[in-house]
Amino acid sequence: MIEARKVSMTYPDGTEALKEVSFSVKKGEICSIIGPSGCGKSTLLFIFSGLLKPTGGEVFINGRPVNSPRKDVSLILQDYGLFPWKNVRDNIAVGMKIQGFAENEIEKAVNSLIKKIGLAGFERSYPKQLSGGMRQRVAFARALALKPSIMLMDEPFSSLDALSREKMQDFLIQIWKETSTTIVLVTHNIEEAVLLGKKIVVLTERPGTVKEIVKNEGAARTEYRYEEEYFERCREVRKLIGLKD
Amino acid sequence: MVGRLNGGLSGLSGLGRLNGLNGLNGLKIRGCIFAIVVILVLWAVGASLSSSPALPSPLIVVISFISDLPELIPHMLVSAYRVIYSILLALSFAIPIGLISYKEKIDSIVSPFIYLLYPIPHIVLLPIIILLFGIGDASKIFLISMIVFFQILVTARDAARNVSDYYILSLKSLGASELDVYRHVIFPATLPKILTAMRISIGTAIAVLFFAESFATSSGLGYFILDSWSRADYNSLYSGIISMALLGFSLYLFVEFLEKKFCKWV
Ligand SMILES: Nc1ncnc2c1ncn2[C@@H]1O[C@H](COP(=O)(O)OP(=O)(O)O)[C@@H](O)[C@H]1O
Ligand SMILES: [Mg+2]
Repeated sequence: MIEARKVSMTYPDGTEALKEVSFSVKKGEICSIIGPSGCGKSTLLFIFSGLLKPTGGEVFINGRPVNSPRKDVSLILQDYGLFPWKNVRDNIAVGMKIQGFAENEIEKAVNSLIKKIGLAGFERSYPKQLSGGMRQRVAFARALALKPSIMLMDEPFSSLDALSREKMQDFLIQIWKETSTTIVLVTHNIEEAVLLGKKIVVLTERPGTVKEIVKNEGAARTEYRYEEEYFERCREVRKLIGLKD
Repeated sequence: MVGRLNGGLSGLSGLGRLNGLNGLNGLKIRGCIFAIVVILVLWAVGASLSSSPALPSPLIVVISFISDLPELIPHMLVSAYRVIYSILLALSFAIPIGLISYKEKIDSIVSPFIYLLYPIPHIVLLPIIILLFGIGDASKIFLISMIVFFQILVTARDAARNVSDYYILSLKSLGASELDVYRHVIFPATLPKILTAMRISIGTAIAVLFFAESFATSSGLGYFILDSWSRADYNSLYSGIISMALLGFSLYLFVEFLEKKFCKWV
């Protein structure tokens, strides 16, 4: 369970990115955060991951305040966060390596993940040799290798074309169903927020505050795209975002 | 599911072949042979036109190089020892200091030193170095490594400072320690720049080596060249020059090998 309590962030240069953001995500829940560009979505994920200390308020994971990166939390950065100097295999392995897993254990996990994401034969390729969708899947594999109980994703599909984007959304739903990981996903795409988030946190323009939390129980199913409820939620969220204070 | 995801990507595998190393290497080797032929022809023409003993023909030089070889090898080894030792010494200080400068705080201490000490023509310090270290190998190695040290340091520091925070955060989100950051991000990210700096330094190191071997010693290729010169033994003079060129060339090839091996991603 993740709990944000009145989280505020003002950067040293005076930029006020977040103001008293409070909401919680239950264990095993998939939650999307949507808001306009620059409203502090990435900042919020950095705070959740323990990489950034908020200037006000606190974040709790399973009841304990977050002060530094936790082993059971994986963050997938915007633009995937892969290392250009590591090939696919080493990019996937790097988290396990850092956390001190045994070499044969890493080997086994990485091999099965590469198969899972459909990149067999690309083990020695470097990120720049891969398409956007393939890079995205490598980033997933790197996060999954650590068997996290929480995955934080920053606009994971924003640089993909519409087709790969849908495929990756389906892939994410599949992963979520298989692992029942708690997922917090940031996006600025309304359809994506509605398709994936059983809970949709709508943020205002900078400084980001919670404008509304939309319940969306039908989400995280690939069929949802064609259902009336989905379109209804999209309209609802679109209206929420379109409204200016 | 996975099969479907993978669809349409098979076209990409052809890409590897396009910029594969084989084609490139073939081109490079052909280019090198062409360059060697042109140089030799120009040299031979120049030699026959000038007909001066100071510009013997390539054939004569090759023959005298081979016959001088037994005498040359000890000098080559001494020179190689001096220059390799110096470069390794320089690297072992320059790389760590350069890399830790990615931290603002450390850089604020390091950069004023670079700012003040780098622009000095270090070679003019030779008399002082000899006064301090004597006329043996120590002073030669110190001089070469000091010069190479600054060249590598400046590059390594600039490269480390340019490593994007994005990668550091990406690694730290995986629970990385400070040491992990160096190992998985700062060092690999700066390595291509460091190797490029090394290539440039090799030329400098050999030039300084020649200078340092030009007096107060009776070993090394620099000595051999100047000694041949003073005896007006032009064939030996060329053997010495060729040896020095070969020394530089083989170090250069070694750095290129390292680049091929460790910087495939560039
Ligand atoms: N390190 C930083 N220093 C100062 N301002 C920053 C920094 N990082 C982000 N900001 C600013 O904070 C605001 C929120 O940024 P961000 O969290 O990246 O927004 P989003 O991800 O929603 O687009 C933006 O106005 C951005 O310019
Ligand atoms: Mg962002």
